[in-house]
Amino acid sequence: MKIFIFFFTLSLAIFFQVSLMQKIDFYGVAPNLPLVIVFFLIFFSDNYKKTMFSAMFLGLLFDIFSGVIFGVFTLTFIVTAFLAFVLSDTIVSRDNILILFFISICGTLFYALFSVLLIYIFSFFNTDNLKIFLNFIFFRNIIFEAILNSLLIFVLSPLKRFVK
Amino acid sequence: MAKGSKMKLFSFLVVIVFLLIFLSIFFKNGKLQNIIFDVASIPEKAFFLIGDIFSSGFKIIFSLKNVVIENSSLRLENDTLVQKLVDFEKVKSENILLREQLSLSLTKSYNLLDVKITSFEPSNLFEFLIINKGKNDGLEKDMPVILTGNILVGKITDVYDDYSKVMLITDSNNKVNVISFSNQEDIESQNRSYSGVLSGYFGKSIFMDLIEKSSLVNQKDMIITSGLDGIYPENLIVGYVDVIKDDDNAVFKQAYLNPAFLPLDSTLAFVIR
Repeated sequence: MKIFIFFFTLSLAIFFQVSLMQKIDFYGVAPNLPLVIVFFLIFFSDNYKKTMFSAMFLGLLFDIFSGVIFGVFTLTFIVTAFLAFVLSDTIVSRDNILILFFISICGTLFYALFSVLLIYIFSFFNTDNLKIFLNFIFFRNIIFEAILNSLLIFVLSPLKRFVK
Repeated sequence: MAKGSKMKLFSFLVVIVFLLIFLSIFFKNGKLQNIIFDVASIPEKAFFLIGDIFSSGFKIIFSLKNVVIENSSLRLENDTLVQKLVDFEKVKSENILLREQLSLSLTKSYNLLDVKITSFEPSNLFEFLIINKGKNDGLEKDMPVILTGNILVGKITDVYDDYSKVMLITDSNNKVNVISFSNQEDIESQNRSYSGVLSGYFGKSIFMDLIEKSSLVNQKDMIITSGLDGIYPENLIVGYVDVIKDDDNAVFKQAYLNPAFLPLDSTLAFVIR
């Protein structure tokens, strides 16, 4: 029952992302709630298995609503979650909010760049698919998204007792 | 959990995803997507409703201050528009008479199908949305999607049984052939309309390229479709010029536009069949 409620909440997060979240974007950039949830689980639940399966589930739903090749975001979510776990494991203290801020910023930047790389690879190295991302606005937007995601983790941090 | 077993689980998940990717490339039927869109449409409707209530509430609070100023400027604008409407009606009736004499048909009317927007692209990398009609309603790939008032939204890229994916004009992969709209004043002052090619840009804006260097581009110029690309019919409103880029060394002028369909206040749209 607990598992069912947990995955139902994750689904709600995706439905929220594809509906309301896109209407409350900041200068064309909306925070990535599913990615925020993955980071949140990494920082506060400390359950590797649960986090990885959540990342996969969120990625699959993300892919269904997205316009790219199916599986690209699932793979990105899993790899980002794994690397964020490795990074947070090597850091001694997780209680320092600045460290969590740093990991979520690095994680979001990696997530955006890795998904662009995968799109390039799965479009069979079509350079047009790479060129459209190599501009100032794209990099400005991903930095902005990284900051928004980190702030959202900070805002949601009082909910950490529910995932422990 | 031990490091080795962590790595094992990670590798196992990656292999599964790779299998999924290859399966989706070679067996694309969209049945799964259709079912998930069906399930998702229920909570999404609720979220949209909540969003509308909140946004209209906030709009009322923030707009109270400006109501008086806005009201007087709107009255002034209304008077001007009434005058323009009278002129327009005169030109219209004259136009009908002339067309009758020349045996020409009136402006092409579109065969429209009303659709509801059910969800948006979740990532900030692409600009897509999903509409609630698909193959069963006769929709096909590349059909244009518009809003009330002939405002262009995008084109259909994927069609499922009861849903379709629409690539917005703000997506960088969407190319639209456009021209600037010339009104009576422009024609009288011999301001030629200029053409160009649009593609989406990140952050809900559009980039217009290949504008002839000699063209007179002004801020707030209305840009419409030219119909030359074979996908979008002519005279659909695309957006308004925001920033003009005119480098001395560049061969063409460029401009950034504000898309006319944003902010998307309604979930009602139309597909041109």
